[in-house]
Amino acid sequence: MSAARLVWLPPLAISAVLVLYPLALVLATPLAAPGGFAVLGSSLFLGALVRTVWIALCSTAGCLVLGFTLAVLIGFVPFRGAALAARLVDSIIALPTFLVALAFTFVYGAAGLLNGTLLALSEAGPHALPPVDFLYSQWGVVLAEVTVYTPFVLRPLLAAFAQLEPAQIEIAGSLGARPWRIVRRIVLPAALPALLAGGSLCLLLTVNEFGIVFFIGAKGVITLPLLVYDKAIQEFDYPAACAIAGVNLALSLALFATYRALLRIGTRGSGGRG
Amino acid sequence: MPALLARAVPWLFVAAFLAFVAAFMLAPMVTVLVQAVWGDHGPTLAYVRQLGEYRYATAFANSLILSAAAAAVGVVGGGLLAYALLRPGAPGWLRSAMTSFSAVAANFAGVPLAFAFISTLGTLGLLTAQLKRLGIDIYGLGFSLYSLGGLTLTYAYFQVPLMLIIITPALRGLRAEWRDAAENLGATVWQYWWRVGLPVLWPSLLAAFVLLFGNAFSAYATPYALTAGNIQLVPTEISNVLSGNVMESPQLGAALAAGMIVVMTAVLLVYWLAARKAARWRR
Repeated sequence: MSAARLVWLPPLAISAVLVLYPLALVLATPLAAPGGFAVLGSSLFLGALVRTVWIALCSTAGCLVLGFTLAVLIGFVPFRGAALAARLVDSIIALPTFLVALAFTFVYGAAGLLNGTLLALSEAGPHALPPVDFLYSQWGVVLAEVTVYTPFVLRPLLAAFAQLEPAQIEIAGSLGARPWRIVRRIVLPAALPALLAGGSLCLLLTVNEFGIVFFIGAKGVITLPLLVYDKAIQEFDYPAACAIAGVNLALSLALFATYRALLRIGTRGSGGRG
Repeated sequence: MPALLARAVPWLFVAAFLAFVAAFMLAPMVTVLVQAVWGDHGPTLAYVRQLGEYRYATAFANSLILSAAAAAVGVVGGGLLAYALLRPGAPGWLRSAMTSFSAVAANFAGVPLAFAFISTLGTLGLLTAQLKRLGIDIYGLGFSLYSLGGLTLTYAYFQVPLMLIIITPALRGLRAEWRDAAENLGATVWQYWWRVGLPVLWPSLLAAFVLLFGNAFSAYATPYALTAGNIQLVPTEISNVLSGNVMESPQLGAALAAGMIVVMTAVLLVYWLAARKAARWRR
């Protein structure tokens, strides 16, 4: 090994300690405590695990569908305000996730704008209008997550569409291909790597999402990050919190590994590199 | 008729899209802004004025300093790390391991991260104790994990990997031929970076900084678990106001949230202006 390479060693060693030690500590804490992993057998944990995966899958699916539709509209259907709408969707990325959840409760919450208006209308009019309460369920969480994370799909998709030759679509159109066929045969294949990249990022983010779930505060909607918070802050049960955090980490890693494998398969056909 | 229908379908999608954007992106944000200036008896600036109180002004100042510092540390640290990993000589396994690790570490925040850092660098932490044995008393030297500096260090744990992830594609876009061409023309390494590398990367670096700034600005669980609210930050203050720890109104929460929106809009505006200038400059 040359001297130039040895220069890298000390900073690498220090960062390894600073980076790996905290992680190892979280994984080792439940090992050291008697019954540290007991929480992993509880129905509370198992319920949270299933719910976390379910919410993440639903949110990611929602982001993919919405993101793809939006990208096709913005990319291929010129309409006034498209640029403004894209910029608005884009700026959602910059906002704190919990702020979006908070804003949702201001509009759609029990004491929010919509229900306040419905109540006032009920009192004034002859018919009682039922309150809208979709927010305090896992679907409320999914909706908020779709709103927050769709830009993560939209951005790479728009970049991918910008590379697409417009002539290709025009020719297909002039040869009589219908819009749906063009989307399926030309647009979708071009979008696949971006969809995979955006989708996997959404999965990682939604599996670890805390702010949205916490601030919507739906009763009974407890995900793994929320359970970690409850165990550590409310019950001071660090071994249990660390055991759950360990599972959450493993889940993230497994999702990422699946994504890399999918990407390798997806790009093999086009000769690209993963 | 079918032709008319075919032409109408895209517009139906456009309408649905605009309705969704209006209902779930625009309306909530506008409501927050309106709530901030709307009291029980009509419009009022009382809540906005309350943001000038020492407690909330401090929270905004702390949040701004912390987010800027954590974003800077992330951009520099993650950028250099990504550059080192993408150099031709770097081993492939290390690159692959670091990418996977970053994907996980970028999401390793909140309570577990705070707990791990308290156990590592807290007053009784392992690293603190080891350094003390070597004669370096970091707390005696003025370091504290429960300060803005300590928070910045903790945030670096998820900011640096996040930067590594988002800047890698841009760094891959730097063509080796540009560098060869610059070298053939007699440019030094610094000249290459100053004249070619950085101008090409500038928009990506700016975008990354904005993303990292927003990420740090909105972090809630990590600072709460680490400092138990002893350091005022905007997200923890909003949570305090709304969860009833402080006897205040939801309008104050909305005013604080509106303040966050204003800060992020300002950051985005600066970013857009700079990106536009960079685009013109490159042309």
